[in-house]
Amino acid sequence: MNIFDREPKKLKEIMEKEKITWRSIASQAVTSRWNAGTPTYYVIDPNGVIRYKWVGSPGEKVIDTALEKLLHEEENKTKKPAR
Amino acid sequence: MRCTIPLLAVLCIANTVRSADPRAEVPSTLAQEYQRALKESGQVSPNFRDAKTDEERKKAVETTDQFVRRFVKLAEKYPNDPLALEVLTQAVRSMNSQDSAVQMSWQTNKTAFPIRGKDDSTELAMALLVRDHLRSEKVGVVCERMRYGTRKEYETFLHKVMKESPHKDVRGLACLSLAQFLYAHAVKLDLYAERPELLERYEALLGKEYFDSLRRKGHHGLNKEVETLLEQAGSKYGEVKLPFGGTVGEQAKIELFEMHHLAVGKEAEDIEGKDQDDKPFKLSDYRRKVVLLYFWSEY
Repeated sequence: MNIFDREPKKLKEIMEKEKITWRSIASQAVTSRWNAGTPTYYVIDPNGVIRYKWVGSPGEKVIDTALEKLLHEEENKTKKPAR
Repeated sequence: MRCTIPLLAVLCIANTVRSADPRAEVPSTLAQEYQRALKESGQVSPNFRDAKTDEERKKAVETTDQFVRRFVKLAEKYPNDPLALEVLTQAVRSMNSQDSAVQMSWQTNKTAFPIRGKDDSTELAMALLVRDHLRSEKVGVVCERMRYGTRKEYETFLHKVMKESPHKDVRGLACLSLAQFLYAHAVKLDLYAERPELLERYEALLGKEYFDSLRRKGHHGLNKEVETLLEQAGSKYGEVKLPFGGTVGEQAKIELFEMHHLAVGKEAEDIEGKDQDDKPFKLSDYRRKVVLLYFWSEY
């Protein structure tokens, strides 16, 4: 999901130009509340808890590994429901 | 672009200082030498990301170090020139961009590489700031810049300013900057806890001894220190204006909010808005799913 900090009407235009397919919103209010002055990434788990946060890109591999780890956790939970 | 903007601003300041000088017919030698150094540093500014081998990275580090040293030596040579503080501020900016370039280069380069060359001049820069500018009312600007760097000498310097500057505005900027500087280190500790393989890189960036001392303080100790500084920034220096808008109090509040609500382990606050197709959007609609949130801007 993208959170973009400029005016909403430019969002679609930029998304087309940059070929972004994610669901995106444009909101200055949200970016300043989240103190995201530089590109910032958050990974949020199925319970709504922040599990990873990177200010500036840590590289694709690190993000992928983190996401895979959480998805595996989730899979294991569904396979072995708590007794 | 991000590199050229501060550079242009600096040149303007240097020009203003020169033309405002009543002895304008005899231009200050520091101003001339400084402008020459700035121009040359802009021309050969090395790109760490393009460095493919250890040898190339070493060269990039040495080139940046050379210019940092040149700025610092200029300030040493002309201690009484009003421009000396600006020259030292530029040295700090260059050190900071060196530190962040190395961190960015980790995305592509797997080798940790020490960023401080043999003739590192951070210590000399701080010694000159203490000797010639500690009591200056203008030293707040360089204090503010230090939040973007990683060097242990900044921590010592900011503590000293907080203790010894006679100007409340300067003490306020140092207090906030120190909090932000230490918070960035606290975040590094958290990343290291998650990925122990980062040890070598952080030791290369911060020096083994400094990283060890941060590890001894630990997540909890360091966060407590940051919190205390932010609370102090809010209560004692709330009204102090920041160089780029807003006040110390407002920024301290934002930073505290980030620590308490936007850190790893905290429940994410809901986000509501409209998406690109004008459909209502809520982060909480994605419960039971893993979500990657990316905040970005057009640069």
